[in-house]
Amino acid sequence: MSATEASPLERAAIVLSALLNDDETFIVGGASPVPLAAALLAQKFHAPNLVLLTGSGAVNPRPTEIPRSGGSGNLLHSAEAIIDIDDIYDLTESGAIDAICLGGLQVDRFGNFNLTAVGSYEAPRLRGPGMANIGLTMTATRLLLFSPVHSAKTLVERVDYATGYGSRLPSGERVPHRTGGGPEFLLTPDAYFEFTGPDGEAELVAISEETTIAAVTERTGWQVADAAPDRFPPVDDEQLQFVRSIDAAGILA
Amino acid sequence: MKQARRSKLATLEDAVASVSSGDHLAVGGIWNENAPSALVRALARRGIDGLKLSAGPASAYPVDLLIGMGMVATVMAPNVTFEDLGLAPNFRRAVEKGEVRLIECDEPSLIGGYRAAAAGLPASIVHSLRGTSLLDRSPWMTTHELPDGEEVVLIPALRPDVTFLHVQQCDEYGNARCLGTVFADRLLAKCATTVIVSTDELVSNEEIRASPSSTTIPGFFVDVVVEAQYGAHPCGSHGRYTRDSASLRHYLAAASKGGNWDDYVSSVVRVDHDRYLLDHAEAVG
Repeated sequence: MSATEASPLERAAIVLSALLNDDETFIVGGASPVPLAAALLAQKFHAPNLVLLTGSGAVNPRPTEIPRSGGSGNLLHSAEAIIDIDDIYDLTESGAIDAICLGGLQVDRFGNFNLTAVGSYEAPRLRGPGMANIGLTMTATRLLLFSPVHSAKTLVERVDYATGYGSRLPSGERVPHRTGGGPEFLLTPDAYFEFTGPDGEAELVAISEETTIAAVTERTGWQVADAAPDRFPPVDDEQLQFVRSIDAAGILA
Repeated sequence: MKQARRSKLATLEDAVASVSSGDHLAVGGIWNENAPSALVRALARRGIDGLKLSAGPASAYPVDLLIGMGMVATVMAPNVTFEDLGLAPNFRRAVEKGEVRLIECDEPSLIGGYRAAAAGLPASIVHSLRGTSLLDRSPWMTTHELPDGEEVVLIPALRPDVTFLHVQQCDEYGNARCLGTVFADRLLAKCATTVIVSTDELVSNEEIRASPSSTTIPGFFVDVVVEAQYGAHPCGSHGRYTRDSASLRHYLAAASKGGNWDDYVSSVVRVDHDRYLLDHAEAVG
């Protein structure tokens, strides 16, 4: 693959990277190679003071290779400090995390996401892994949603179960007691939505060079309003080379 | 009369004998790393059941295996997944079919409960969960109003009867070094009645004293120490060995629908740790 042909996940990492800010404290969870690559890119290029935390407690890791697993020693052994569960608990409760990136088995038009149960809660067709830290979705300043899959099965009109809340509850009612900012955007390899609709619903802002509005509309489970979305910015060669330099295993390829 | 300091060393089999049917057992580790796998398999070789099982906020093999063995009545574990290798088959099936009672929780609720127990408090106050769907599904957490009208969520203390942990280095008095992350393991040691630690390497007390700041779990939190080389296998042990993905895939295939679970149990679980290491000699060298 030549430098000009970034894979969908490589492109997503580069787009996500630009959405992370300098001086933010950003936490990534388990099995999150795209958000992890995005944070390392941001630190390397435009956000050198971004603080990257991993679910395992690594602070500012510099892995020579991004791991598939959030518990990987690659993150811990290259970190500048390691925090423990008490620290993460305190950061969660105090609202000191600026940004967290999450996804789900299902994500709906308000950004509600489901990691708990597909089908009915009482007798699910699929019991998901569960959400490690629901509290963070309520207290983090920015909730960033990323789904590596863009399909009508994943991006649904209404989630079967809202493990974490979007801009509104699945019913459309306001979310009570949230001290953080709630979801800001939903990124997929194909599209970028912001929750800026009149009722907090997702609005299509940009799509990938590789797709069409028709294809995005078809593979999105909610009604995509008529819009003239921008295209994702062209992939910067230097950034792509950096992503590949930390991805010898081709996890994002 | 002068007496020698008491060693906490025990065999795997003697160590797990302190767990009884119906006990609350907590297991440490994080996803596919630092799991107390040898202790869990040793426990699985005993015929107990009705366990209340809880785990650090990120878990996989120990939770899934004990559920698969039919030993668990109640489980509290907010994120059970083998991550990139797949969902947890026994956990998933048991919850879907209602074969275990799942108490919904997440990191702040679980950690709040452990912290209350560690501090000897009846409950912790957790703010972040106000208004979340978790409260609808978790009657063990309750909402209260403070005198000034503020609403708070109370998490009752969670005190495991026994905690199982795996560390990379430990002395015979239980002074333990986690060479990667201690994650929830020190907290799980502080909040439980009995704490059992397996270690890849037994080191001397002199070596521990040479670098006290490297001790991540002090020995006075620990009751029993078991020397178990590759005691986390098939999971990884930070700084010692990485996870054995082929063995974990073998486990996942056996635990999945249509897999040969009985064969896994007889050939992998119901063999002692020495035999297990011989059988996995290629992976554990």
